[in-house]
Amino acid sequence: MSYPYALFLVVMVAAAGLFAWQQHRLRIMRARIESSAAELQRLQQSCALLAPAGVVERLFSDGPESIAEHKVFTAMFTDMVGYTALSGRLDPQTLAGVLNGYFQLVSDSVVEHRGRVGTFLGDGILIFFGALEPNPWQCNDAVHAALAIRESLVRYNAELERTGLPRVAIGVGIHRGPGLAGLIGSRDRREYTVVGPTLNLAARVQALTREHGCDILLTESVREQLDPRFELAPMRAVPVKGIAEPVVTYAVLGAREEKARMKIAGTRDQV
Amino acid sequence: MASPLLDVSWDQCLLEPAPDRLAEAALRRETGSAPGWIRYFLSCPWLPKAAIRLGIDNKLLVHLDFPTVDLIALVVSRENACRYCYAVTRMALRVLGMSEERMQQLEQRLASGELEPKAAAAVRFARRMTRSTPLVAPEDLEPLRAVGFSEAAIRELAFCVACIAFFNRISTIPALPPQSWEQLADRWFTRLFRPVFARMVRGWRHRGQPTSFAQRPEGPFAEMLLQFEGSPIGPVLASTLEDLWASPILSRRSKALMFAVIGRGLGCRSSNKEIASALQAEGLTPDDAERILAHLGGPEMGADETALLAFARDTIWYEPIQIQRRARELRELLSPAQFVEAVGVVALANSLCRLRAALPRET
Repeated sequence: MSYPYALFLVVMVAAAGLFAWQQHRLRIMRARIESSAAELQRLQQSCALLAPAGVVERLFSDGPESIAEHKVFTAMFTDMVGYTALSGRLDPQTLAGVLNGYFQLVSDSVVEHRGRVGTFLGDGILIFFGALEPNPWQCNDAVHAALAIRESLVRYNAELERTGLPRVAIGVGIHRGPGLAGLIGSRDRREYTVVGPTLNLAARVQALTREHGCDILLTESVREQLDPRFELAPMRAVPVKGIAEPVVTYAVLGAREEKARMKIAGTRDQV
Repeated sequence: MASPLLDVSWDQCLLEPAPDRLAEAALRRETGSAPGWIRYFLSCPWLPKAAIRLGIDNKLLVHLDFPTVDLIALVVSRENACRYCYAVTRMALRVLGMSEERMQQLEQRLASGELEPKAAAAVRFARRMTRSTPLVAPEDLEPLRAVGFSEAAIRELAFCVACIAFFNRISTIPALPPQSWEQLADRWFTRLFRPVFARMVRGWRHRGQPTSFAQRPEGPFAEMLLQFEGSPIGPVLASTLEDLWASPILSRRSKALMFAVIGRGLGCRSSNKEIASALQAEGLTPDDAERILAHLGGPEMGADETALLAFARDTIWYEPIQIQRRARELRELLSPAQFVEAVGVVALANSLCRLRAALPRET
């Protein structure tokens, strides 16, 4: 074989080798990009469990600082009455079981009435209504959720008693007002939540349930928006830390029968 | 490869298909087709007719191209977690020649936002309008104008989003079974006869011609309908609304209140204004209406009507399995025809209120 042919052959083989190597690299790059895109998709789906979809999208596109807005919402604070005494009487596993059952029944009742569990604070739970999407019925929803918690607790206590465990009681405080909704926290750890004095007052009102001897208390700002079919009992105004005027609250006695949810025979032709 | 919505919990179907040869033949004469799925809705005549006429590939679009429409159908159905509509759109794209690999790439690009600017703007707008948390505002239309959408194309885009949201709700609320659509694209006979099916699907897709209203629309949403003057969308929406109000299955008052609840829940003042006259026509003073809407009930309302309002409210934002459970409860209270009409009313009300907010210009 003459020299030019040999050179040509070597060049062709080298070019083919280079081309094949580049194709191989391209395939690897493409696979990595697709894998990253799939990973991103999974990440977005996972994040959607922690915050509303719109928030997740803005988080990815504009960063965490972009997610903050003022909203009027209803805050509900629930707390387990006598937790300290309970924790001294039960072994850790049993205590965790009782707590988890309580958290679950509160979460179920809240979700059923379009609320969102914000944060678990020890044995307390912070809950929002109308903080994520507009909700003109947020006060009614909050009180319905509180009544559902009361009802579920009766069943839960019966279950606890059957297994020889002590009963659980709760206090619920509900207040409506403005707050800042957004991704709040340190640089390392943030969560989608709402902050502001509305939450503080809901927590203080919850503490008043002990003083007034009732389980569900709400403030005047909630009562103003509330369906008159709820039965309320006014409580005396009580001074509360951090609030200039004594706070007027109302105990929730119950709701008149929710006929709409009942199966009533023979009413089909009324509509 | 499976649809990415396969993990969405889905109840057993709440409706029984009820074949009715006469009704189907009448629909075929009137609208030109009578697909099998309308058998779920035949007990409420205006709904299957509306569903066929509101098919977005059925001579309604003059400006928007079908690839954009397909993209919007995927995005909106995914946002609404409608397994049924997502599977139907996915299947249509596969039949039209999109390989599973390309389908997956498209789904990944939709998730990551790596689309060309015009498609990306359309997708962002579709997501905003579907979520409506909060409602779309005039400034949300600016990015569409910036990438070259004309005013007429923007109106068609908003209509497409509303229309797909309508189909999502009439499929999701009664839990129409999505399984057959989800598997169809991978069946051997679909693969074998794909060119034939592709030709059929393309044959169903027709562009519309500019059309005027036979008579000026009146009543609720007339302001919005007038924005579709010259488009084939306007007369179809107008006749759908006429049929809905004329249907005797649920009372006009119940239907007007359901619209008002959805408008209020979304915070759409324009829709509330449009529906106020309908409430007054039913003998409800503004004070009465406000009292009922503020608490979704009142002493003058029966149990069924109260349940309808609560149900309407639940359809604004939902998880499929939750709304299907609530729909099951409602079905126990109503006759089959009333239940189907309730589904149709909430689906149309959700779509029109969102559309009204997206097209705020007063005429």
